[in-house]
This record gives sequence, C-alpha cells and structure tokens, in this order.
Amino acid sequence: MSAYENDRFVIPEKYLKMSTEELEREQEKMLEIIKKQPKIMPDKEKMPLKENLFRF
Amino acid sequence: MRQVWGLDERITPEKINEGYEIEAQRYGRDKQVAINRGYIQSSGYRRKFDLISGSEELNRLLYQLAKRMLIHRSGTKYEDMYWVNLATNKVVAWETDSEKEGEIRYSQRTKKAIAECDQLLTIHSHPNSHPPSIADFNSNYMNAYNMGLVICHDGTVYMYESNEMVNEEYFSMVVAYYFKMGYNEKEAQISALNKMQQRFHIWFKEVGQDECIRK
Repeated sequence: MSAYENDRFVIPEKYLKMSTEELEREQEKMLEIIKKQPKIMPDKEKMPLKENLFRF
Repeated sequence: MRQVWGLDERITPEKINEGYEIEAQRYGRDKQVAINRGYIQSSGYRRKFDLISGSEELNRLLYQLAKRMLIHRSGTKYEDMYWVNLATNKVVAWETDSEKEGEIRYSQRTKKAIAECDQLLTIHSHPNSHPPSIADFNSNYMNAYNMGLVICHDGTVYMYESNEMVNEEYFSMVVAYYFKMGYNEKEAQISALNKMQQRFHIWFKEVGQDECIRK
C-alpha cells in the first residue's frame, strides 16, 4: 500500500508506534532481505546523454 | 474560461497575474499551496534554472514550463507534468488535466511518446513543496528517464535520477525513524532520501543549495 495519500506522504501508523531502536533494527533486517532479492529491471534501457549535460 | 497558453508562448509577468487569478477562481484558493508569486517572477528564481544543465536552450525551456505549471496550479493540490526530448529540447508530452490530487495519469498519447523517445527529462509540480517521492524515483528508473525535475509551489526545485528500484515500505520506515528523531515531515523525507542515496543507486539535490554526491 502506498504511503502517499493524495499529495502528502503519510507515515504508516505501525512505524509511528515503534521506537527509534526498533525502527533501526527493522530497517537493517529489511535491507538485508531487499539486497538478496533479484533486481527489478526497467521497462526500457536508459540511453546515455552527452557528457556533463546536467550539473549534478 | 480556462486559460490555455500555447507551448510556444512566453510566460510573462502579466500572464502570471492573469493566470493566477483565473485558476484561483476556478478551484477556490488554498493558501497553503499558493505559489510565491514575487519569488517566481524574480531573477533569483530564473538564475536557479541556469544551474540545471549546460544547455541554455534547455534551461530556458525548463524555466518556462516551471512557470506555466506553477501559474496553472497555484492554490490547488493538482500536479502538472511535461516530458522533454533531450535530443531536441522539445516538449513531446504533457499531462495538465489531472483532477485527482497528487496523481498524474499517463494518457495513451503520453505512453506512446515515452515509448518512442530515448532520452527524456520529466518536469512536474509538487503543490506541497515536498522533495521527489519514492514513486517519482521508481518511475524515473522504470521509464528510463535521464533526469527528473520537481517544481515546488514554494519555489524550491529538485533534480533527481534513479538507476535502481527503491522499496517503498523500506523508505517509509526510514522516514518514520527520522520523524521519531524529531525532524518534521519534509526534513524526515529529505534525510531518508539522503540515506537512500547511500544505499541505492539514486541521486537527488535541491537546485541551488547543495551538491549531490554521485557514486
């Protein structure tokens, strides 16, 4: 479920009830799981631009 | 009567005032998302766009599109979006009729333009003036856009790009962490995005304010 309602980011209630320590632990656990999942491929390949076009 | 200006029309200060009043009457003005007219018309705002790219033509176009969107949607929570072909610096698609807050639906015409164009920049407005959402990053990645710009109603401009999907649930958790640490909503989102930059292949920065650390 999206955390965005209309044009606002809404922090899910379940996370607001957790302490910062719990949130830190859960973040690390979730990141471990995410990093092991297969990479989602885009719908098309990004074409490279002329070098230095964007001042990033 | 709805005010519609052709894409080739320059957005002048007179048009800013004229469009502002018409849109405010159409939707009823929400002061919280009204644009800062004085700043949008200032040279300071204009100079911001010179920081975006090395192409004067592109920067000029992006500035005109930004003003167009801001005038059109000032005082409302509806977003506008344009797609620019970076090979020609021409607008190839636009969605400016959205009637659902915080959402832009791609028409068949827009989907066709995205499929046919290899090098695209997107520019869209954020009435709430928040930074790019994770959905914005993920859309940038999935559609292989070369760059995204967010034009905020308060005059902030963000640029962003993604080469990896970011799990929205994970991002929510990180935002919650910063919020619980005492940051406000916007600060928590920005801090969470900075953390995402460290952990995923995404980049963003507020134009004119900071430098993005690109891996």
